[in-house]
Amino acid sequence: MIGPLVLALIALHPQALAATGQLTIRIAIDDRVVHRLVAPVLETTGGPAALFADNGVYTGDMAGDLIYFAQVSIPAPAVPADHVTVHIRDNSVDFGEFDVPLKPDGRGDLALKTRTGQPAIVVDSAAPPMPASTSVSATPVAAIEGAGPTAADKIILNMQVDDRTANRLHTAHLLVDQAGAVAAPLRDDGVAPDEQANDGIYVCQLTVSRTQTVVVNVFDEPDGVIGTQSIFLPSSSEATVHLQTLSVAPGIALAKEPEGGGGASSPTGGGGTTETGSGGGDRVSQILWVFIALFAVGFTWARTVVGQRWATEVKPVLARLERWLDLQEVAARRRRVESGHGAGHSEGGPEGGAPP
Amino acid sequence: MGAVEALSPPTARPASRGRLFALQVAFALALALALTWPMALHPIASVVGIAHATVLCHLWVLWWAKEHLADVYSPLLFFPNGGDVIELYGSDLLSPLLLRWIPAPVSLLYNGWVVLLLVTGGVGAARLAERAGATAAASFIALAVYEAAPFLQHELLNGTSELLAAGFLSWFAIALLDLLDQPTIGAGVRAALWGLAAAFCSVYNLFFLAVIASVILLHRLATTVDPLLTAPRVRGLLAAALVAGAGLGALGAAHLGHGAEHTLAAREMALEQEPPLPDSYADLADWLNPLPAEIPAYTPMAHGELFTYWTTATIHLGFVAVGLAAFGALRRRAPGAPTLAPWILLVLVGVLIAGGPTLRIGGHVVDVAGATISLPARTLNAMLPGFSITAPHCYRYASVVVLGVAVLAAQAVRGRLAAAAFSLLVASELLFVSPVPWPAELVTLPTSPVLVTLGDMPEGAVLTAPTEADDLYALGRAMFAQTVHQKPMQDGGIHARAGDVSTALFGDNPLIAALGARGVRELPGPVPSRRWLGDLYDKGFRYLLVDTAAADVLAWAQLSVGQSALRDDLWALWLLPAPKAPSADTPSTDPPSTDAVPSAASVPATQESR
Repeated sequence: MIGPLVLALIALHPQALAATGQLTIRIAIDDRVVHRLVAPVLETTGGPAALFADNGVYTGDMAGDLIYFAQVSIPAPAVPADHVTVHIRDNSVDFGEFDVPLKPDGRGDLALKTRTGQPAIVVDSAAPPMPASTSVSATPVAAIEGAGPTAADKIILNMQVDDRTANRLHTAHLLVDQAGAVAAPLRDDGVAPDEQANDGIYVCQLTVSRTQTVVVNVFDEPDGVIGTQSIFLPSSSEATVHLQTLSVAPGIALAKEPEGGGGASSPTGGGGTTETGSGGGDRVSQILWVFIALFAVGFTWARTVVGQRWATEVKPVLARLERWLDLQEVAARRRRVESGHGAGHSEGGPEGGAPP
Repeated sequence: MGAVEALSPPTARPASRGRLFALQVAFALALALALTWPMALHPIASVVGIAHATVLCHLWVLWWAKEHLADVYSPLLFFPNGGDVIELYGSDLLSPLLLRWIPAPVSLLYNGWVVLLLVTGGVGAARLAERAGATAAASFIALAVYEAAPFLQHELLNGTSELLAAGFLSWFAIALLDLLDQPTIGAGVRAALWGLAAAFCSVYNLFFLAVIASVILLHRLATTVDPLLTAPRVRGLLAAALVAGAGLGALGAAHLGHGAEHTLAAREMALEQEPPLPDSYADLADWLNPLPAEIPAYTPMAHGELFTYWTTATIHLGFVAVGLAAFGALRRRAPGAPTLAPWILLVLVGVLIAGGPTLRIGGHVVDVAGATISLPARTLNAMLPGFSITAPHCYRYASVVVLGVAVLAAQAVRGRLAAAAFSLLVASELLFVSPVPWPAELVTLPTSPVLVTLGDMPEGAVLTAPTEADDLYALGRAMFAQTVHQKPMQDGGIHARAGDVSTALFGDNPLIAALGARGVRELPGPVPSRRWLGDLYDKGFRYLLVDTAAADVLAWAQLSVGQSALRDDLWALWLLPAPKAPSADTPSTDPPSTDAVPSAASVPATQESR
């Protein structure tokens, strides 16, 4: 029942997807009922693999709605055919092969859905046709997938997969679970960046959007997905990631911590400045703490100055005024006493002069 | 009345001052021995601390300082590439440089050093409390509050003994107050020397010193209208600057030349690490949380593993101590008594910085209308270059909180009887009811005849297994073993700190990587193992030393190399065979090469009989 939902998530886009001599394969899988997909991968014969996305990377896609979509371009076969065969896997689960019927314009669309029985994925015949074209969104909604970009900058990953012990890799690819990522071939042919041919260490270099973590998938022909590994990225602009293959689950593991290189890079692209705490809210709080500290010092100093002025300048004057008032009171009392004993003295005599 | 008068030091006859000092030292020593009990019974055969922490690495550093100080880039670690000892273990530069001259076992030196630091801190807190207006009798309360603080007790068990040197902070504060109140060149020099002593023990202390100096100076600036920079003070400050400048120059050169930039870069984002390490922030509720801290703490890591974290945070201050401090801060002061404002401020500032990036109470980030409350640590991280060095462990700013609380608590009572009673009450509460276990945990130093025999064997690097990367328990055992056999080994410290060059072998040789793997340990089969062991032989490895507790590694070693040459309860030793030139993949059944090492049969005494 992909139907209108697929239509809604895939927006029409004007540019042609398939270049001349290329086939464009698009697969949608509806997993809303069964919830069994984790990181499904689309593999093609002789072409690159692609990770199914449900993170809003494709225009119109609704992130996290459990409708996965993948699109891949592959070379057209020398002999024209009416279909191509693709393979779908999810971690160690093999969902089998599917024939994608080809249209005359070199496009092949297939709508699938998951189910609880076997086979686990079947063709969704009720799904409506997909739109003419699809494009990768400029602003993917990846946060729902748990790998949301924290900044717009990039990081170069030098991936090394050590296969010397397990000997599992033959024609290996590495795919980063990130918006718009394509599978990169892992090479052991002695051509840079690989240092030595056939030494069992497969390498590739790729540039990905900076996130706190990335999920990488290593797969191979004919074994399919070898393993998946989440990797914490250092804050540098370039990093070397050492993976090793295992003959048992989880298939691949980190051989050592990723090593940063190429200089530190802050999440905001500040180039080595310590810019921790993302967002304007943190900046406000930083300003607030500085203000509180300065205010505390300033207020205490002002209080000290006022206190000292009060003690040295105002308080003596007040004391003198108080003394004068006391004198006035004594004088007035004396006058009252004197006026009781004799006449001739009026109120406000010479003693009642101006205050000092 | 100006603050200068208000903070004037107490006057007493020199004889009574000397007697008081002796009493303070005696009480501090007794308390230190009680805190570390039963270490005093076995000062050579054991050391205070948890085996899973770094305590055995400290012993290695002392051994290295005695035997190999000239090799700062030591070939003993991360053989064959070597490792930078200052980058790996340079946090405390003072104790190795001082203790290397004392002809005693390193375990005794380590135990003596931590007791000395505890005593120095306790007596310093007492003297500072007196300076802040406490009576001589009440100064013992400050001594107990500081020295027995669960924070320091736990740091001691964690093996973070360099933080015990925070005890120098109180002596620095006394000298700084002297510099302000009775400015002399001597006071300036003393302030600089105490500050340097603290900084050479841990760079963290440099930041604690800055907090204390800032609080005292800003308080002084804000509460006096007299000019601060009088001629005597300027002379004292210049003397302090000269001494401190020379010392800090040496300290800076030592660290900058040995990976400080790398450390700084690695810690740049540490404040924002999610999930945070358990000792990276001080939860507001934990200052009065007497519940035992859980060891180990399990921290989920970004790549899915659970990191077993044996360092944990205890910041409980003690109910009696906090009650006394509150009463001391609020009670009416006698006319002319020194102001307590700097010490109240110190507690407040320390609590705020120790809180980490955001306010947490009861284990949860406090959320007000959807927004978290950013604390000053984040502001300092953004404004002060270098603050990020302390960012991973902000909770360590509890050092200054403990000092402030100790000074305030001593102001609560004045009489001798009450002071003695409360001193004992505080010490008892913190010893027996605190979150830190008592008697203290000790690491009994393992004695292994295999290691002794290996020490007598010809030169050659030792492949020590397993050394699970960055696992301090395995690392400590391996490094202590090296102090006995004295031969290079393939590991030697935290890999991220050691750097790419030192740890290159972990990438180049899959066997080394497999033996050092964290979590999943999948060892290669005999055929590839022999190939990788052959490569190691070519690099200079001659021995394989396996912890007998690691059954899987023992089985792998027997399958790959054959029967062990030596074995005791702790270690099993193999002599690595020389690789066969034409086909390294062919399983070797030959006995080990005898040109480099003695044959197994020639090793006496502890030969394996099983």
